[in-house]
Amino acid sequence: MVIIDMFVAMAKGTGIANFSLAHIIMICFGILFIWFGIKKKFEPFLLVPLGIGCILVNVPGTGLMDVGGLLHFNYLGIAAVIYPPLIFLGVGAMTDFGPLIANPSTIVLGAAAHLGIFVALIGAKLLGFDIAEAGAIGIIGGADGPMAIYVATKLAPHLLGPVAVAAYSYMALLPLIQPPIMKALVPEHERKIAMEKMRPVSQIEKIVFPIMMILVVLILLPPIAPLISCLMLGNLIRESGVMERVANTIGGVFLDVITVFIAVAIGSTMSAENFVNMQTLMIVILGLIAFCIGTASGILWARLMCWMSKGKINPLIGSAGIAAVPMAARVSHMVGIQANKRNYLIMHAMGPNLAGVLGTAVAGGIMLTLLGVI
Amino acid sequence: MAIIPDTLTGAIFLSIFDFITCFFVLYFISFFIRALKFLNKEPKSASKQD
Repeated sequence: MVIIDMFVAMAKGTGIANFSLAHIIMICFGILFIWFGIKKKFEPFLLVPLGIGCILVNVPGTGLMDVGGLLHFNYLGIAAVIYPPLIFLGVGAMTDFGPLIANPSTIVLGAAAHLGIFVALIGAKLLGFDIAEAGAIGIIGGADGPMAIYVATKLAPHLLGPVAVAAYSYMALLPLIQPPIMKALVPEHERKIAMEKMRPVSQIEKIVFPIMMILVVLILLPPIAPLISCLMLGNLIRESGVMERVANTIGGVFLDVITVFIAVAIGSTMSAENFVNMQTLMIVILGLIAFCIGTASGILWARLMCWMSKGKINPLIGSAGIAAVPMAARVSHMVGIQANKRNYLIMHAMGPNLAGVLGTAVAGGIMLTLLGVI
Repeated sequence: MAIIPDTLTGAIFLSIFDFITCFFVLYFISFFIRALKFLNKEPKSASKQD
């Protein structure tokens, strides 16, 4: 009898006894993320650890996400807003702002492509979320993972998991989401437009740019100081030319490692208990709508610029106005080269793409100010 | 303290205000970026010397 009780106790202690259908669904999602990362090569640095985090947190009884658990400590990296500025530091160190400096007129595309944020915000309010939650959901449309985490942490920390998952998942899936919208909204002859070569940008311009941006943006919008200051510090380290080893490290290995940590942390918020509900489904759908509308509004604004410039601007660069650096610019280039094999849009699309980072920061900063976070 | 009321009208007002302000802030920043080119040395005078 004692032996049977021992076996029963053993069985109750395994994960099998505590599994539910919701756990199995979430583990399948985790496997799907890993499959997309490895097989389809969609942002593997992001999707593979995201999938692993999702699987780990949905095996019952491990206690990894309980206070003191390994995943809980890792989660504090996003909850305490430590990882997002570090990601921005790395992004700054690997980013050449030359295309934006050379062609500042495309900066408005970084605002135009953010219409999705506001449509999602109104949509979330209509679905019954309060205005702070709606703001956190809307910022998914900025396609900027660290900024989405930052704003969600400030406005609606309880929605951090679904907001971060939606933002990062759609960013990784941009090559699937954007091209059909781009092809539907831009006629073939406009997709073939080859843009003029940009002027060269000197090192002094690239050094002054981050210092100037820190002063201008932070004076205008202090709430976004942690992210923009790290982005520009990373960029200054890169452009100064005297810290090459540091720039290569923080823009390379360091950024990859932090990305893995942040992705595991986001995956670990996807527990069946918190995730399988209507609220999450609504957030995920609103996020997708925000991405689609942002892409469309960027494209339409770029078409207007194309018309005003008498065909000098390829409207495909408009979709890069949502942040997602450099994936959105790559998608613009990819669709452009399908229409015209000699059309190299990547550098032209990087301008609006980098403007998108600033645009999301500005939109988020205004939101935080008006919703009384500071 | 939140300036915007937690209503649908508040959400619409916030959205419109934020979208338009975002445009103007970025447009304003573009003037600073445009000014950066004046940091360059004049290339034409260099070519004349050549």
